[in-house]
Amino acid sequence: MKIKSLTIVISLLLAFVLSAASVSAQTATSGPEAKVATAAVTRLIERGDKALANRIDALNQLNARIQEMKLVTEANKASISAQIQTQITGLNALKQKINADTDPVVLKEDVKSITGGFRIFALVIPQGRIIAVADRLNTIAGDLTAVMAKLQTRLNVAQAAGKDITSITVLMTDLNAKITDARTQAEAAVARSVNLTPDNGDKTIMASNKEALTKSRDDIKVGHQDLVTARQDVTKILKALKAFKLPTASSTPAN
Amino acid sequence: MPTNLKIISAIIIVVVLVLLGWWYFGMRGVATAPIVATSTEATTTPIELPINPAPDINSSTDSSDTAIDQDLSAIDAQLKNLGTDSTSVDQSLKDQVEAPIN
Repeated sequence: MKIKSLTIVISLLLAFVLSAASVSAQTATSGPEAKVATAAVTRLIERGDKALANRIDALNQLNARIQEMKLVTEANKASISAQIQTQITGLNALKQKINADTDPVVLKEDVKSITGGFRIFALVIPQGRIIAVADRLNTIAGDLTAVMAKLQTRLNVAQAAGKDITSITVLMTDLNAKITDARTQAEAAVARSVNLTPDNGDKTIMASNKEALTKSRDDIKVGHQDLVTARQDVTKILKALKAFKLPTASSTPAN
Repeated sequence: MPTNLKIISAIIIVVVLVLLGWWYFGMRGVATAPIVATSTEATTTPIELPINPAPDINSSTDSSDTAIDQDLSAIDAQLKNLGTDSTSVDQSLKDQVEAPIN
Protein backbone atom coordinates (compact mmCIF):
# COMPACT_ATOMS: atom_id res chain seq x y z
CA MET A 1 0.00 0.00 0.00
CA LYS A 2 2.80 2.39 0.85
CA ILE A 3 4.51 1.56 -2.39
CA LYS A 4 1.34 2.28 -4.32
CA SER A 5 0.89 5.60 -2.58
CA LEU A 6 4.50 6.52 -3.19
CA THR A 7 4.13 5.57 -6.84
CA ILE A 8 1.11 7.79 -7.21
CA VAL A 9 2.86 10.76 -5.58
CA ILE A 10 5.93 10.31 -7.74
CA SER A 11 3.71 10.07 -10.84
CA LEU A 12 1.99 13.31 -9.93
CA LEU A 13 5.27 15.15 -9.41
CA LEU A 14 6.74 13.72 -12.60
CA ALA A 15 3.69 14.73 -14.63
CA PHE A 16 3.85 18.27 -13.31
CA VAL A 17 7.55 18.58 -13.97
CA LEU A 18 7.22 17.14 -17.48
CA SER A 19 4.40 19.47 -18.42
CA ALA A 20 6.34 22.42 -17.07
CA ALA A 21 9.49 21.41 -18.89
CA SER A 22 7.77 20.85 -22.22
CA VAL A 23 6.21 24.26 -22.27
CA SER A 24 9.05 26.15 -20.64
CA ALA A 25 11.11 25.32 -23.73
CA GLN A 26 9.44 28.33 -25.22
CA THR A 27 11.18 30.42 -22.51
CA ALA A 28 9.29 32.30 -19.90
CA THR A 29 8.74 35.55 -18.09
CA SER A 30 6.22 36.81 -15.60
CA GLY A 31 2.42 36.94 -15.92
CA PRO A 32 1.87 40.66 -16.64
CA GLU A 33 4.53 40.54 -19.35
CA ALA A 34 2.57 37.80 -21.07
CA LYS A 35 -0.19 40.26 -21.85
CA VAL A 36 2.35 42.75 -23.20
CA ALA A 37 3.91 40.10 -25.43
CA THR A 38 0.53 38.95 -26.67
CA ALA A 39 -0.22 42.53 -27.59
CA ALA A 40 3.13 42.73 -29.37
CA VAL A 41 2.28 39.66 -31.40
CA THR A 42 -1.05 41.20 -32.33
CA ARG A 43 0.65 44.42 -33.35
CA LEU A 44 3.17 42.54 -35.45
CA ILE A 45 0.40 40.71 -37.25
CA GLU A 46 -1.37 44.02 -37.85
CA ARG A 47 1.85 45.59 -39.10
CA GLY A 48 2.39 42.65 -41.42
CA ASP A 49 -1.17 42.89 -42.70
CA LYS A 50 -0.72 46.61 -43.33
CA ALA A 51 2.56 46.10 -45.16
CA LEU A 52 0.98 43.40 -47.28
CA ALA A 53 -2.07 45.55 -48.02
CA ASN A 54 0.17 48.44 -49.11
CA ARG A 55 2.02 46.20 -51.51
CA ILE A 56 -1.09 44.57 -52.89
CA ASP A 57 -2.68 48.00 -53.43
CA ALA A 58 0.44 49.25 -55.17
CA LEU A 59 0.52 46.19 -57.39
CA ASN A 60 -3.14 46.52 -58.31
CA GLN A 61 -2.65 50.16 -59.23
CA LEU A 62 0.41 49.30 -61.26
CA ASN A 63 -1.47 46.54 -63.03
CA ALA A 64 -4.24 48.99 -63.93
CA ARG A 65 -1.65 51.39 -65.32
CA ILE A 66 0.01 48.61 -67.28
CA GLN A 67 -3.30 47.64 -68.86
CA GLU A 68 -3.78 51.23 -70.07
CA MET A 69 -0.50 51.34 -71.93
CA LYS A 70 -1.00 51.88 -75.62
CA LEU A 71 2.13 51.05 -77.49
CA VAL A 72 4.17 48.53 -75.52
CA THR A 73 3.80 45.11 -77.12
CA GLU A 74 1.11 42.81 -75.83
CA ALA A 75 3.77 40.26 -74.97
CA ASN A 76 5.56 42.71 -72.69
CA LYS A 77 2.29 43.79 -71.10
CA ALA A 78 1.32 40.18 -70.48
CA SER A 79 4.73 39.42 -69.00
CA ILE A 80 4.55 42.27 -66.51
CA SER A 81 0.91 41.62 -65.66
CA ALA A 82 1.59 37.93 -65.00
CA GLN A 83 4.49 38.85 -62.75
CA ILE A 84 2.29 41.25 -60.84
CA GLN A 85 -0.43 38.63 -60.41
CA THR A 86 2.12 36.10 -59.18
CA GLN A 87 3.31 38.57 -56.58
CA ILE A 88 -0.24 39.33 -55.44
CA THR A 89 -0.99 35.62 -55.09
CA GLY A 90 2.18 35.10 -53.06
CA LEU A 91 1.42 38.04 -50.80
CA ASN A 92 -2.12 36.79 -50.17
CA ALA A 93 -0.78 33.37 -49.25
CA LEU A 94 1.71 34.96 -46.89
CA LYS A 95 -1.08 37.02 -45.33
CA GLN A 96 -3.04 33.85 -44.57
CA LYS A 97 0.03 32.24 -43.04
CA ILE A 98 0.85 35.26 -40.88
CA ASN A 99 -2.69 35.46 -39.58
CA ALA A 100 -2.59 31.76 -38.70
CA ASP A 101 0.87 31.86 -37.07
CA THR A 102 0.93 30.89 -33.40
CA ASP A 103 4.70 30.64 -32.89
CA PRO A 104 6.13 34.15 -32.34
CA VAL A 105 9.47 33.19 -33.86
CA VAL A 106 7.84 31.88 -37.04
CA LEU A 107 5.57 34.92 -37.15
CA LYS A 108 8.56 37.24 -36.98
CA GLU A 109 10.28 35.42 -39.84
CA ASP A 110 7.11 35.46 -41.94
CA VAL A 111 6.65 39.19 -41.46
CA LYS A 112 10.30 39.72 -42.29
CA SER A 113 9.81 37.87 -45.57
CA ILE A 114 7.33 40.52 -46.75
CA THR A 115 10.29 42.65 -47.75
CA GLY A 116 13.01 40.03 -48.13
CA GLY A 117 11.10 37.52 -50.19
CA PHE A 118 9.08 39.60 -52.62
CA ARG A 119 10.90 42.79 -53.60
CA ILE A 120 7.70 44.61 -54.46
CA PHE A 121 9.07 48.10 -53.95
CA ALA A 122 12.62 47.10 -54.85
CA LEU A 123 11.89 45.63 -58.28
CA VAL A 124 8.32 45.09 -59.40
CA ILE A 125 7.01 48.64 -58.94
CA PRO A 126 10.03 50.44 -60.50
CA GLN A 127 10.05 47.91 -63.33
CA GLY A 128 6.38 48.48 -64.08
CA ARG A 129 6.64 52.25 -63.87
CA ILE A 130 9.56 52.34 -66.27
CA ILE A 131 7.62 50.32 -68.79
CA ALA A 132 4.58 52.56 -68.35
CA VAL A 133 6.57 55.75 -68.83
CA ALA A 134 8.27 54.26 -71.88
CA ASP A 135 4.84 53.68 -73.34
CA ARG A 136 4.02 57.33 -72.69
CA LEU A 137 7.22 58.42 -74.44
CA ASN A 138 6.26 56.38 -77.50
CA THR A 139 2.71 57.73 -77.47
CA ILE A 140 3.89 61.34 -77.44
CA ALA A 141 6.50 60.59 -80.09
CA GLY A 142 3.70 59.26 -82.27
CA ASP A 143 1.61 62.37 -81.71
CA LEU A 144 4.53 64.63 -82.53
CA THR A 145 5.17 62.64 -85.69
CA ALA A 146 1.59 63.32 -86.78
CA VAL A 147 2.04 67.02 -86.10
CA MET A 148 5.34 66.99 -87.94
CA ALA A 149 3.58 65.64 -91.03
CA LYS A 150 1.12 68.53 -90.88
CA LEU A 151 3.95 71.01 -90.50
CA GLN A 152 5.67 69.44 -93.50
CA THR A 153 2.51 70.03 -95.53
CA ARG A 154 2.58 73.68 -94.53
CA LEU A 155 6.28 73.83 -95.27
CA ASN A 156 5.77 72.44 -98.78
CA VAL A 157 3.18 75.13 -99.44
CA ALA A 158 5.57 77.80 -98.22
CA GLN A 159 8.37 76.46 -100.36
CA ALA A 160 6.11 76.39 -103.41
CA ALA A 161 5.22 79.99 -102.67
CA GLY A 162 8.90 80.90 -102.82
CA LYS A 163 9.40 81.50 -99.13
CA ASP A 164 12.79 81.07 -97.46
CA ILE A 165 12.40 77.87 -95.44
CA THR A 166 16.05 77.31 -94.56
CA SER A 167 15.74 77.91 -90.82
CA ILE A 168 12.51 75.96 -90.63
CA THR A 169 14.11 73.00 -92.39
CA VAL A 170 16.87 72.93 -89.76
CA LEU A 171 14.23 72.89 -87.05
CA MET A 172 12.32 70.13 -88.85
CA THR A 173 15.48 68.04 -89.01
CA ASP A 174 16.04 68.51 -85.29
CA LEU A 175 12.40 67.73 -84.57
CA ASN A 176 12.65 64.46 -86.46
CA ALA A 177 15.91 63.54 -84.72
CA LYS A 178 14.49 64.21 -81.27
CA ILE A 179 11.38 62.15 -81.92
CA THR A 180 13.48 59.28 -83.23
CA ASP A 181 15.82 59.39 -80.24
CA ALA A 182 12.91 59.50 -77.79
CA ARG A 183 11.62 56.26 -79.31
CA THR A 184 15.10 54.73 -79.10
CA GLN A 185 15.43 55.69 -75.42
CA ALA A 186 12.00 54.26 -74.63
CA GLU A 187 12.84 50.96 -76.26
CA ALA A 188 16.19 50.81 -74.46
CA ALA A 189 14.53 51.49 -71.10
CA VAL A 190 12.06 48.67 -71.63
CA ALA A 191 14.69 46.25 -72.92
CA ARG A 192 16.85 46.82 -69.84
CA SER A 193 14.12 46.29 -67.27
CA VAL A 194 11.42 44.01 -68.66
CA ASN A 195 13.18 40.71 -67.97
CA LEU A 196 14.62 41.43 -64.52
CA THR A 197 13.79 38.88 -61.85
CA PRO A 198 13.64 39.12 -58.02
CA ASP A 199 17.02 38.67 -56.36
CA ASN A 200 15.77 36.37 -53.58
CA GLY A 201 18.57 37.66 -51.40
CA ASP A 202 21.31 37.28 -54.02
CA LYS A 203 23.46 40.41 -53.66
CA THR A 204 24.84 40.15 -57.18
CA ILE A 205 21.40 39.98 -58.79
CA MET A 206 20.22 42.77 -56.49
CA ALA A 207 23.07 45.00 -57.64
CA SER A 208 22.55 44.21 -61.33
CA ASN A 209 18.81 44.84 -61.02
CA LYS A 210 19.46 48.18 -59.39
CA GLU A 211 21.97 49.13 -62.06
CA ALA A 212 19.58 48.14 -64.87
CA LEU A 213 16.70 50.08 -63.35
CA THR A 214 18.88 53.14 -62.82
CA LYS A 215 20.06 53.03 -66.43
CA SER A 216 16.47 52.66 -67.58
CA ARG A 217 15.57 55.73 -65.55
CA ASP A 218 18.42 57.60 -67.28
CA ASP A 219 17.10 56.49 -70.68
CA ILE A 220 13.69 57.81 -69.69
CA LYS A 221 15.14 61.16 -68.69
CA VAL A 222 16.93 61.54 -72.02
CA GLY A 223 13.78 60.57 -73.91
CA HIS A 224 11.74 63.00 -71.84
CA GLN A 225 14.13 65.85 -72.64
CA ASP A 226 14.06 64.87 -76.33
CA LEU A 227 10.30 65.31 -76.39
CA VAL A 228 10.42 68.62 -74.54
CA THR A 229 12.92 69.91 -77.10
CA ALA A 230 10.81 68.51 -79.94
CA ARG A 231 7.79 70.35 -78.57
CA GLN A 232 9.81 73.58 -78.51
CA ASP A 233 10.85 72.97 -82.12
CA VAL A 234 7.20 72.65 -83.11
CA THR A 235 6.42 75.99 -81.48
CA LYS A 236 9.24 77.70 -83.38
CA ILE A 237 8.30 76.05 -86.68
CA LEU A 238 4.65 76.95 -86.34
CA LYS A 239 5.49 80.53 -85.46
CA ALA A 240 7.67 80.84 -88.56
CA LEU A 241 5.01 79.27 -90.78
CA LYS A 242 2.29 81.54 -89.42
CA ALA A 243 4.49 84.52 -90.22
CA PHE A 244 4.26 83.63 -93.92
CA LYS A 245 0.50 84.31 -93.78
CA LEU A 246 -0.26 81.64 -96.37
CA PRO A 247 -3.59 79.78 -96.70
CA THR A 248 -3.66 76.47 -94.79
CA ALA A 249 -4.96 73.06 -95.90
CA SER A 250 -8.57 72.09 -95.26
CA SER A 251 -9.54 69.25 -92.93
CA THR A 252 -9.27 65.75 -94.35
CA PRO A 253 -10.02 63.06 -91.77
CA ALA A 254 -7.63 60.16 -92.06
CA ASN A 255 -9.90 57.64 -90.34
CA MET B 1 -11.33 2.40 -1.10
CA PRO B 2 -11.04 -0.10 -3.97
CA THR B 3 -7.71 -0.16 -5.78
CA ASN B 4 -9.27 0.58 -9.19
CA LEU B 5 -10.92 3.68 -7.83
CA LYS B 6 -7.59 4.85 -6.45
CA ILE B 7 -5.93 4.39 -9.82
CA ILE B 8 -8.69 6.24 -11.62
CA SER B 9 -8.51 9.06 -9.10
CA ALA B 10 -4.76 9.26 -9.52
CA ILE B 11 -5.09 9.42 -13.32
CA ILE B 12 -7.65 12.20 -13.08
CA ILE B 13 -5.42 14.17 -10.73
CA VAL B 14 -2.46 13.67 -13.03
CA VAL B 15 -4.45 14.90 -16.04
CA VAL B 16 -5.68 17.95 -14.13
CA LEU B 17 -2.16 18.77 -12.99
CA VAL B 18 -0.80 18.37 -16.52
CA LEU B 19 -3.46 20.70 -17.86
CA LEU B 20 -2.82 23.23 -15.13
CA GLY B 21 0.90 23.06 -15.75
CA TRP B 22 0.39 23.43 -19.48
CA TRP B 23 -1.86 26.46 -19.02
CA TYR B 24 0.41 28.17 -16.50
CA PHE B 25 3.67 27.73 -18.36
CA GLY B 26 1.96 28.31 -21.69
CA MET B 27 0.94 31.78 -20.57
CA ARG B 28 4.47 32.49 -19.48
CA GLY B 29 5.83 31.19 -22.78
CA VAL B 30 3.82 33.65 -24.90
CA ALA B 31 5.47 36.49 -23.06
CA THR B 32 8.93 35.41 -24.06
CA ALA B 33 9.06 36.47 -27.70
CA PRO B 34 11.08 39.69 -27.85
CA ILE B 35 9.13 41.29 -30.69
CA VAL B 36 9.92 44.88 -31.45
CA ALA B 37 7.38 46.41 -33.81
CA THR B 38 9.04 49.55 -35.07
CA SER B 39 7.53 51.81 -37.69
CA THR B 40 9.48 51.03 -40.82
CA GLU B 41 6.60 50.82 -43.25
CA ALA B 42 6.22 54.58 -43.12
CA THR B 43 9.39 54.90 -45.20
CA THR B 44 7.52 53.79 -48.31
CA THR B 45 5.56 56.23 -50.38
CA PRO B 46 1.98 55.71 -51.51
CA ILE B 47 1.78 54.84 -55.17
CA GLU B 48 0.34 57.63 -57.28
CA LEU B 49 0.16 56.51 -60.86
CA PRO B 50 -1.50 58.72 -63.48
CA ILE B 51 -4.10 56.35 -64.88
CA ASN B 52 -6.10 58.73 -67.03
CA PRO B 53 -3.82 59.79 -69.86
CA ALA B 54 -4.97 62.54 -72.16
CA PRO B 55 -6.59 61.36 -75.38
CA ASP B 56 -4.46 60.98 -78.46
CA ILE B 57 -4.42 63.79 -80.96
CA ASN B 58 -6.97 63.87 -83.75
CA SER B 59 -5.44 61.84 -86.54
CA SER B 60 -6.50 63.95 -89.49
CA THR B 61 -4.52 65.69 -92.18
CA ASP B 62 -5.95 69.05 -91.26
CA SER B 63 -2.88 71.28 -91.12
CA SER B 64 -4.68 74.49 -90.23
CA ASP B 65 -3.53 76.59 -87.28
CA THR B 66 -6.60 75.57 -85.32
CA ALA B 67 -6.08 71.83 -85.88
CA ILE B 68 -2.39 71.98 -85.00
CA ASP B 69 -3.10 74.05 -81.90
CA GLN B 70 -5.59 71.41 -80.77
CA ASP B 71 -3.02 68.70 -81.39
CA LEU B 72 -0.46 70.61 -79.39
CA SER B 73 -2.87 71.00 -76.48
CA ALA B 74 -3.28 67.23 -76.38
CA ILE B 75 0.48 66.74 -76.59
CA ASP B 76 1.05 69.24 -73.78
CA ALA B 77 -1.36 67.26 -71.59
CA GLN B 78 0.57 64.08 -72.40
CA LEU B 79 3.85 65.81 -71.60
CA LYS B 80 2.43 66.86 -68.25
CA ASN B 81 1.50 63.22 -67.53
CA LEU B 82 4.96 62.24 -68.71
CA GLY B 83 6.41 64.51 -66.04
CA THR B 84 4.28 62.74 -63.43
CA ASP B 85 5.35 59.37 -64.80
CA SER B 86 9.01 60.33 -64.66
CA THR B 87 8.64 61.54 -61.09
CA SER B 88 7.00 58.21 -60.23
CA VAL B 89 9.98 56.36 -61.66
CA ASP B 90 12.38 58.48 -59.62
CA GLN B 91 10.32 57.93 -56.48
CA SER B 92 10.08 54.19 -57.05
CA LEU B 93 13.86 54.00 -57.26
CA LYS B 94 14.14 55.92 -54.00
CA ASP B 95 11.72 53.43 -52.42
CA GLN B 96 13.90 50.55 -53.57
CA VAL B 97 15.54 50.05 -50.19
CA GLU B 98 12.85 48.15 -48.33
CA ALA B 99 13.30 48.48 -44.60
CA PRO B 100 12.70 45.18 -42.79
CA ILE B 101 9.50 44.95 -40.78
CA ASN B 102 10.46 43.92 -37.26
